[in-house]
Amino acid sequence: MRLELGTFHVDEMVFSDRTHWSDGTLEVDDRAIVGAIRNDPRITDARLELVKPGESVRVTSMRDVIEPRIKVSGPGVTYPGISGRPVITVGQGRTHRLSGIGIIEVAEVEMYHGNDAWLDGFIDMSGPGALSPYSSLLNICVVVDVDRSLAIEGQNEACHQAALLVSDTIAAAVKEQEPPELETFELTETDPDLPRAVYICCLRSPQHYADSLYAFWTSIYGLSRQTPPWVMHPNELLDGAISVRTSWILVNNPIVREMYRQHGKELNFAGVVAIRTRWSSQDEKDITSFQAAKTALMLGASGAVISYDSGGNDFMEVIRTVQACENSGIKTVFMTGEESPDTGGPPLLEPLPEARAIVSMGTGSAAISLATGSEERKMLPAVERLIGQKTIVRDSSQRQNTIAADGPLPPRGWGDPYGLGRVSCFEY
Amino acid sequence: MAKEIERAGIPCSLISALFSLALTTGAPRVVRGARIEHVCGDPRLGSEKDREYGMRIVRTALKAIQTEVAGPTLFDPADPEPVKEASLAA
Repeated sequence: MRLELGTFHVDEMVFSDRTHWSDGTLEVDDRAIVGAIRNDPRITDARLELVKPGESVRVTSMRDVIEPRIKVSGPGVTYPGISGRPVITVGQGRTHRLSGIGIIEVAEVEMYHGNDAWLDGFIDMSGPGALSPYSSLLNICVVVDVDRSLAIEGQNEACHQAALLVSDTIAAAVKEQEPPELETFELTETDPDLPRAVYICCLRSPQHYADSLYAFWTSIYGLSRQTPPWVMHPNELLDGAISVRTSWILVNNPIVREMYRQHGKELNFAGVVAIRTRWSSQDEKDITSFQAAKTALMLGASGAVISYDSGGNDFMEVIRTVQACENSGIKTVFMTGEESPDTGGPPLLEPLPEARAIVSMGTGSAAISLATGSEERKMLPAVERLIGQKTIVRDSSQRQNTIAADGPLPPRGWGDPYGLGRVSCFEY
Repeated sequence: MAKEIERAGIPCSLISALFSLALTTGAPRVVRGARIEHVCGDPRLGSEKDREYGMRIVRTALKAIQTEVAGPTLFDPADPEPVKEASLAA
């Protein structure tokens, strides 16, 4: 499988009467795009807003961030399967992308009915809270509302289709152009003496909390449900075969990029194993771990990099995947967040001794990065412009207690499971 | 919590769907529960069998607090003599 990835960087983005990319400037025909979104009878309201780094802006009810990508040649479509898109296997031919921008999907629609589906996160474009990669992007917010008589899955599909329509329309502007940058991704035959390494990507499934097979969340070819391990080519990830929460970070996953970079130098990149987490019985968790290790072994791996995007009991199948790999002779590097010290619990839920090489991805708590001092000084500053819901919960565990979203806010943790953020730490 | 109650000298059974976690964290008396959604029963069994299964789990928990243990020990309601060795913890 060979994929050419052409990159068109965006330095400047403006609304205009045409959608066009030229020499780093992206013009976006916002009126035409909003018109196209409103053609969907499920959409009751829609508008686009530009948001730039350094502005005093906060984006709430953020559901996803998408990087515009489009297939120029080769089978399928980018971001396959999600919201009814074709499910043809992707990862071959040529794909064009626009870098430096994000399409932020904004709607006050819960991801599903159930725990952890809330839209408590937000993006600050300036100040001490601007820590996530999205704060450094030129963003288009796609602010929509939908027909609330639809089932929650239908509401979500409509919101996401609207955001993908924006992404597709913008990406189409560079489809026929020659990209300034072109990279080729292929798992070429290489020195067989190099160690074979797989990337095991652990993804939380919402099925348990949502009690729905169709809950909107991180999906593989559109499936968010609990599934056995998937064997994937890294090129499929570059085409968005895994998307949502966020699509942008999943196509820009630095682990995939770095393992490709090391292919033929330090290692032989043997592929990606994607597993779903948050199974709800001991046996299901153990099956997942054993089968993930078996799959890695059958790919000939002697090493594995393991990441995961969740917390709580998902940790069990993930750490047991580490254990099962090590017991199968596969050396592991485990990239994991730590439980917040506020909980009083141990940093790792189940610190099994087999996890010998751990890279900490932090506690997801931004609080420690902010100035110490009075309570006010620990708050993120108020903003001039707010996009999204006007109130926000002060604390995720006390949902009845809401405050104005454009005022000073307690810092909200931003998990950085793939290591692309700008948060660093020191040991003391 | 189970460990602290034990430390205070009161035998304590921890019924857990994720029993391996309970064992590795060092709870002395762990009873195998069903699933996270329904630790002490299983609605798929129908109400009569579900009640029977729930009673078996609770009886196993009561037996566990009357049993001397040397370290983290799993009690499985499916076993006629529900005591297993701590080695299962791994």
